Amino acid sequence: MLKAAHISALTLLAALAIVGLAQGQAASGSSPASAASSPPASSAPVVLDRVVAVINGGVILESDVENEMRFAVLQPGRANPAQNTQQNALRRLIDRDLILQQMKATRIVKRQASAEEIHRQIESLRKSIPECAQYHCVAQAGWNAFLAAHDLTEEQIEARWRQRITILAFIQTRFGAGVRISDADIDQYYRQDLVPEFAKRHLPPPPLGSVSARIHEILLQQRVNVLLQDWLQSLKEEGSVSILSPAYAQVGSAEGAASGPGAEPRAGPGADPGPDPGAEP
Amino acid sequence: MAWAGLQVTSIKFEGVSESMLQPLPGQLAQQPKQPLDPEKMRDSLRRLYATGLYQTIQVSGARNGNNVSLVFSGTPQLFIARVNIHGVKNDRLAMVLQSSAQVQPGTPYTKSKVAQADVAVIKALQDNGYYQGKVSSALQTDLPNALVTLNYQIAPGKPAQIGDVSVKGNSGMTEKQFRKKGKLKRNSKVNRNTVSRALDRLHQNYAKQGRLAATVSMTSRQYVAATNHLNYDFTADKGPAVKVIVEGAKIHKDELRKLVPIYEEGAVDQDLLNEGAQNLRSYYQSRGYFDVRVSYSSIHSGDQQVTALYTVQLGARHVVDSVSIEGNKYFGKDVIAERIGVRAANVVNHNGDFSQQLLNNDIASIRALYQGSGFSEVSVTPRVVDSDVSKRGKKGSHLKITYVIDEGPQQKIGKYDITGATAPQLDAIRPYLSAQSGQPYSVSNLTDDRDLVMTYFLSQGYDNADVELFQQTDSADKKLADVTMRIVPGPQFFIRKIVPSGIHYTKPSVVQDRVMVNPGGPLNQTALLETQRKLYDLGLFSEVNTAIENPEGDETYKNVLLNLTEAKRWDINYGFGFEAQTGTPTEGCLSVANRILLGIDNSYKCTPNGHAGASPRILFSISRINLRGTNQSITLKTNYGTLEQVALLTYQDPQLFNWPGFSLSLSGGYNNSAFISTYRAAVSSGSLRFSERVDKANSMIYSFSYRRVAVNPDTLQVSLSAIPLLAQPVRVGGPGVAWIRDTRDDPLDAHRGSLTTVEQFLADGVFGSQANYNRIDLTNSTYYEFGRDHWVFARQTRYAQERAYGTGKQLLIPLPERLYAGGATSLRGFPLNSAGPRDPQTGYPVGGAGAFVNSFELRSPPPTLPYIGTDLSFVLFHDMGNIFQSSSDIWPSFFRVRQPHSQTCRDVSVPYTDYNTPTTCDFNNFSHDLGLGLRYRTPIGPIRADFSYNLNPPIYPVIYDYTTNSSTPNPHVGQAGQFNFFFSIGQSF
Repeated sequence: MLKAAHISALTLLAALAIVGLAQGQAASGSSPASAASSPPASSAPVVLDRVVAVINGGVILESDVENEMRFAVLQPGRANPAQNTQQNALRRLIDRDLILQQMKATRIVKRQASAEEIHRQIESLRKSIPECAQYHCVAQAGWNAFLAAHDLTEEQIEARWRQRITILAFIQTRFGAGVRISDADIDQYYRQDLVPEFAKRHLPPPPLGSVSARIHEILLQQRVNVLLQDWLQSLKEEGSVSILSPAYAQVGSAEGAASGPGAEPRAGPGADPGPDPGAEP
Repeated sequence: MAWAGLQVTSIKFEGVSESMLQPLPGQLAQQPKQPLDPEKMRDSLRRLYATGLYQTIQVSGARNGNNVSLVFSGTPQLFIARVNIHGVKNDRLAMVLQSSAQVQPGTPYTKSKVAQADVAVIKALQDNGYYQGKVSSALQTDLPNALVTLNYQIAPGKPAQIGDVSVKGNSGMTEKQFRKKGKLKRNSKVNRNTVSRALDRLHQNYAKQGRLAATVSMTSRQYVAATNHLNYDFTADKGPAVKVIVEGAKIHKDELRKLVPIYEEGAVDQDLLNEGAQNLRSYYQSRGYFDVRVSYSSIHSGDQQVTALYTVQLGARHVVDSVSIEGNKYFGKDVIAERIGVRAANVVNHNGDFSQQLLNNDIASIRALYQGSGFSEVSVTPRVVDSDVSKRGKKGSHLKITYVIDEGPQQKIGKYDITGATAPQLDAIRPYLSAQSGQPYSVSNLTDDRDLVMTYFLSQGYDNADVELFQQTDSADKKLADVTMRIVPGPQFFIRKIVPSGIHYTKPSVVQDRVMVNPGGPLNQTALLETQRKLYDLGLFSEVNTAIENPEGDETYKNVLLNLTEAKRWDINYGFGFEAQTGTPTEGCLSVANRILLGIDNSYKCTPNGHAGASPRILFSISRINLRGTNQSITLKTNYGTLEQVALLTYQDPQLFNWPGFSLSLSGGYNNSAFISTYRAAVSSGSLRFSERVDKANSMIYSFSYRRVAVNPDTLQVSLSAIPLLAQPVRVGGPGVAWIRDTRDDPLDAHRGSLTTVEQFLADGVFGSQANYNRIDLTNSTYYEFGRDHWVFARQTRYAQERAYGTGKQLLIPLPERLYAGGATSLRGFPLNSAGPRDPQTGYPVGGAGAFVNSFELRSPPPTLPYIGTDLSFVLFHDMGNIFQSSSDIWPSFFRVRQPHSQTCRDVSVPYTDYNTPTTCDFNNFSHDLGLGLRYRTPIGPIRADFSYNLNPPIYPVIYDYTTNSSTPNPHVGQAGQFNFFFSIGQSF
């Protein structure tokens, strides 16, 4: 039988993979300069922050990217730290910015999460973050130590989670209402995905009736994810997404191919490649 | 952040200067002499980028102990100034290429934008037929103003020619026929209209064959560089023949084509058939068949024919006898009547206008009128009475329509609150608001207020201002509506600098004097429009465009771009025209003595009344504007025709010494004209005129003129003894002043208002004049519009007098300087300038020293006529008055309709060889004529044709008129013609 925690984790994984964590605008940032070393007492100028991308007139700073990378530790199911790159973080920020801009434009009544709901979800988070195991995050002291180790605060986590809930609710309203999961879909998932998974672990599969609700939720999230991806792609194509820093050039949509540092960085057609800094026209 | 909390000693700005950023540096979240706050620093970075002045931006810090200095640096953003096209002589093509670049001045410059513009310009060149064109672009930067100008150097090359044309599909014609019908002749030049014109012509060709559903399209075209030919591939399908039949009623086929849209659309579908049915219904209803029913069907006979069948059931023909209104108290009947489309029958419209649709529209209009004034519960009930007999006993179907209005209670404005504006702003707005608390609730007043407030904020630089109105019925009193106007001003923008471009010949001060905005002042859009209008009024620029640099950015101070394109300084115009009328002077009437000398035989004819005919004329003018870089100009106008030959050189300064409303004109020229059958005169003249525009309606003209008038003795048709005196050249000179007051709504075709001119001219020996006289000429015209159909009653009255003084020859006013009347624009009962006194020997008109002319015109609204539509209207007119030997003869003659002493005018036994011999034959009476005129409306004013009948044409003795071969041998009694016609352009007055 699928554990409730596993179902929740899968649900969270599906949404968070697209939405990402709350963006860096709401949190105090860490310096784009390496946080590990302190600059000397008297030093040559150091770049403290800069604009790395412009999304329909809104800017993403390098400190936003650094924040996003720090908050990636909260992403459950994160298997490979090597995937926590600046490019991936920027990609998530771009997607989130586009969604927030659309939320503002469509003037949908935004769902505000209550303090209890946020607290409940953070409690659940503390139990599910893999890295939390060594800090014993279930205990407040352990949780505080975990946050301190990653230069995070409780207030930042709450603010981000509040925004996350609002965004997820928007996505559900925007896309979920039109998605229909049939009994045949649930049945197919049960036989083709769930039963083999249990068979691998030499465990008897739970009855279909007991897990159909959870399977419905997973399938709903999967389809919403697909619709969301298509929607984000069209927003990028129709809007203006400019990557100003070549270092982030490999941020892209599904077809975003790696290109050399000299190539014009682009997130999608229809956007301006951006000028060479300091170059004369 | 490791440096968080360090003391920020200084903040500098690089890339974009601090002055460009003002006042933002002082408003940033992170300020010097404060601890470094990462959040504030990030906020500052965002705000700086939001100004739009940076392409990229970063913040760097240099630490010194526990202090840090910050530098915000970045690459400045450049903006598009303008796009220039060089190398294209054709102005229209240059404009097309410029607009094809799709680059808006003021917007951020990017490489991709320029690349797209390059492609677009090349494509536009090709679309206009130029495939061999060479296009090169260069960028010109103005770094201090952060501007980039795109300069395109274009060599269009030869236009491509039409090459091969292939046609696929069932076109029903050969390639040769296709080419011919589509005007696609091989080797013809290609232009932007080649394909669209071909498709239109082919569609029309198919339509003539009845193939209304034919389809023709161009599928592809290929350019062959070697031969500079463009080959086309077309697909055409002739489709079935379409026939439209109307059963049950008659209709002309031309009218049917207009009403049934399948002809124009070239397709047969349900929507078009339905629209045709509705149009037919309206057509028959307009002819009195108010109950008409129209149904339709389409019958397909295989693939070859489609028949659209309209079945019409006309029903009884109605006449709308009357339309009345009852129950109205707040609005008068005339106010409501203007909004009613249902009309009673009248002289012009024999059946009236009525349909259910019109009735519904009228009800909605009347209700909207009342609701707009607070009568939210108004009800309008139509009462239609259909009887078989009219009021006067005429049989037929007669309708009497009454609109019964129940106004209901009127709502008034309760509270009227304005939020979002500061106290000084409210003080500026309130005096101009239309709506007030306690007034009747009026939607139009409230929307006027909203527009006024919006205009105010826009003029103050609040470009993003938003003004909304909210209305709520007062809970305590339902007759009151509380109104709230909510203002969201948004940020205020100011002007940093005005950046003009495109000025080559014009003095910058000429432009600057007409710029209505100032650096440092608010970004006032209304003032920018006014600037544009004033610069266009100069007449020096063919294009004046204003743009805001960085329109989307947040920066508080913005540059205003003033992009000007100077007009060509030299301008040449030429044209051909003509006038047709009775009384055209016969060219070159010769005296007897001269005819004998020249050996001209006795068949030669002249007549005092001239002849009916056309007078052609050729016009040529050349002008040079932008003299000395200003709006002064010099023009040479020449005019050559049978009646007149003129050459006039004029220098104009429309704004003398930059005094607003003052202009100067200096002119000199030669004029040889035959505006009367009596003589031809040559006038060499010079004049100086100052004009003053006092206000919108009133102007003053102060002038000094000097001229030499010489009557050609060979053309002078007066008594022999008078010829030497009257043929002598005379110098006339002196000052004049004129007052003009014009309140007409439309000078070309006035419906309301008036025009008054008062002119005073004094010729005196002090100014070098050989004749001394004072002339006063007053003219007043009024125009009054009345009736629902907009009839116009127009009147013009002219009084003029000349008083000679001095001794001897000073008392003789030269013939060309006398007063005349008669012709298309005054007394239409007479040929040109032929009213008034006549020479006692020859009978030719000689003008006078007193003039009184009054004209009445009743101008009808245009009726709806077949083929012409509403472009033709009619005029009934009555003219009266005359020219008198002396102004003292005017008033005693006012009520005199018969010519006094007419018996003596019939007595030709006295030869009157002496010009000074007194005669009792005089012309001191008021002539009256009646007439009918046609006015055909054109964009440049109405073309007019007037037919007049003189009720009391004068008679005069003709002792000798230098004609020997005539059916009326000399001496004889002459009489002015009774019938006259005139053909010209513009209203008569």
